[in-house]
Amino acid sequence: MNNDAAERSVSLAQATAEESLRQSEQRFRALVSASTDVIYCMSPDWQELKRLDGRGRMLDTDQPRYNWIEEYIDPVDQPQVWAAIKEAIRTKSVFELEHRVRKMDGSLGWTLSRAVPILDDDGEIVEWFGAASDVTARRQSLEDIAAMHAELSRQKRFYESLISSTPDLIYAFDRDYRFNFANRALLEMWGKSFDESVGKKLIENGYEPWHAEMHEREIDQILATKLPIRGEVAFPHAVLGRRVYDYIFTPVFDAAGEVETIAGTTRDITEIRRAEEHLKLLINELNHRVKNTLATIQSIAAQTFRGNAAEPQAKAAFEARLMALSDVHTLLTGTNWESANLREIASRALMPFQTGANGQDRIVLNGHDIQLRPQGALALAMAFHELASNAVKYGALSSSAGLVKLAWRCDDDRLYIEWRETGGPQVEPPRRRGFGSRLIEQGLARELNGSVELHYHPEGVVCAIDIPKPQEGSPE
Amino acid sequence: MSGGALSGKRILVVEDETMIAMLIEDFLCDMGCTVVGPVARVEHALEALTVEDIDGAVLDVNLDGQSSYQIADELAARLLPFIFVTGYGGQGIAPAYRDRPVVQKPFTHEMLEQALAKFMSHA
Repeated sequence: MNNDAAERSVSLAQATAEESLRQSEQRFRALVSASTDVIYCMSPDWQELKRLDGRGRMLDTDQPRYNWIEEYIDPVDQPQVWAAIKEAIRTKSVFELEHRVRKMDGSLGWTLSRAVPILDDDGEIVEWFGAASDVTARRQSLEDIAAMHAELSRQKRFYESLISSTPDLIYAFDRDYRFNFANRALLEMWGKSFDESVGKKLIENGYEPWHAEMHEREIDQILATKLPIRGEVAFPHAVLGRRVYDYIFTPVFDAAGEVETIAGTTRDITEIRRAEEHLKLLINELNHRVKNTLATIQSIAAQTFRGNAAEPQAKAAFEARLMALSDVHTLLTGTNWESANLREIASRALMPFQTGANGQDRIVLNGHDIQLRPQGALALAMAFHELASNAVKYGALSSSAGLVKLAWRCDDDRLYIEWRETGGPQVEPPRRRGFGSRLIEQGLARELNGSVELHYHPEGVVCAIDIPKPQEGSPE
Repeated sequence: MSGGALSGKRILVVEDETMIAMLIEDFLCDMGCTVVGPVARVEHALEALTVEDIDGAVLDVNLDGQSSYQIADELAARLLPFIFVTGYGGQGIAPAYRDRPVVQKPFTHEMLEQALAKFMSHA
C-alpha cells in the first residue's frame, strides 16, 4: 500500500468515524428530545447549574446559575438533596434521589432524579449529566393509599372497640352456616377463643340440635329472601344459666348484590322480661287488693244496714253502685289501666238492665269503637248505671214497651253521646235532684271537661253528653 | 230466703279477711245454710274437713299469701263441691282449677247464691 492509498485510507476512516460520531450525536439529541424527562447539566461540584430543560414542567435554565437550589428545591428538602449530591461526588458514582421540586406553577411535585458524572482521562469529574422524571402522580397515589389505609384502620379500631365492648352478642355466618366472626361477649358466653369457634357451625359451638337447626333454616330464609329476620329464643348461657334473647339476622351483600355474609346481633332481654312479669304481678296484686277492699266496703255497709230501719232499696242501690264500680275496674284491669272501649263500658254497666221481663233486649247501643282513658271510663260507667237505675224506677225501663237508645259519634275533636228513652210512661221532672242526676249533670261534666244536659221530655228522658274526643295514645 | 236448694246445707267458709268472711257468712245464713267456720288458714280448713260434717265449701284463693288449692284437692278427693271467691280475675286461678266455679269479689248475694246453687245441684 502506498502513501496516498494510506492517507486516503486514514481520511476515509476519519470521515467514517466523524460520520459515526455525528450520527451518534444526532441519536443522542433525538433521544433527549423524545424523553419527557427534565434534562440538566451540573458543574463537577454541583455549585453551578449549567443548563436545565424543564419540559414545560419546570423553569428552564439557559444561562449557568449558582442559586439553582433556591429556585428548584424547597428549603426543607435542601439538606437531604445536598447530602445525596456530596455522597455522589465523593464516590464519583451515580446520583439518584427521589425528592420534591418546585414546579412551574410554584407548587411542589415529586421527581426521581438521576445524574451520571462525566470523567476525564485522569478520572476527574468534568460535569454531571442528569435526567429527572416526574413521579408526582405515583407519589400522590401512594399518599392517597396511605391516607385511605389510615382511615380504614381508624374505622376498624372504632368498630372493633364498639363491637368488643358491647354486652350484646355480635357475629356473622358464611353461606354454609359457619361462624366467620364472633365478638368478645359471644366468645365469653361460649367460653371459647376466637380461633376455637370461627369456621365452625352452630352445633360445633355447643348449640343444641333444635337450636342450630332453627338458625340454619333462618339463614336459608335470608339467602332466599335477602331480608333480615328477628326472633326471640331462650337458651342456656355458659355462666348465667337460662336466658331469654332477642336477635336480628341481617344479610350483608357483596358488590354484585348477592348475600355474602349473614350478620347477627343478639340482646339478652331476660331482665326486661323479668321486669315486665314483675310489673304484671304487681298490677295483679294491686287489683286483687282493690277488689278485696271493695268487698270489705260492701261488708261494712251490709253490717251497718243490718238490723236497723234502713230501707232494703237503699242497700240494694248501694250494692249495685259498688258492683258497677267493680265492673269497670275489671274492664280497665284487662288493659293495664290504659284505656277501655266505650261499647264495652256501656255493655258492662247496662248488663243488669239489658233484658226485659219477656227476655227481650231493651237497650240498644250504636256507635263506632272508641277508646276512653280510665277516668272517663269510670265516670261514664257510673253515669250509665245511674241513668239505667232511674229508667228502671221512673223511666222507659219501668214499662215493658220502653226502650233506651244509647248512641255516640265523633267529629274531629268532640265526642257526642246521647241517651234517649222512648216508650215509657210520661215523664215528669223530679221534684228533687237525687244522687244520680247530680252525678250525671255536675260530676260527669266536671270530670270529662265537657257539657252534660239531662232533659225530662214528657216522651222520655234524654241525656246529651258533649266532651273532648279522647286522643289516641296520649297520657292520662 | 230459707227453703231454697241450699237450705240446711253445711258450708265451710275459708276466708282470711274478717269483714269479707262476715259478708259470706251473712249471705249463707240468708240462704238457710249452716256456716262451718269461717276459718282463715289452710291447716284449720283441713282440720275442719276431718272433724266436721260438711256439704260443700266457699274458698278464698289467696289466704294471706298461701293458696287454698290444697283444700280444693282435699275437697275434690272427698267428692265435695266447692266454689272459689277471689279478687283476682279468672286468670288468677291456677290452670288446673279453672273449670271450677269462680265468684269475683265484690259479689252480691245473688251472685254467690247462683254459683252455689249450680254446683250443689250437680253434686
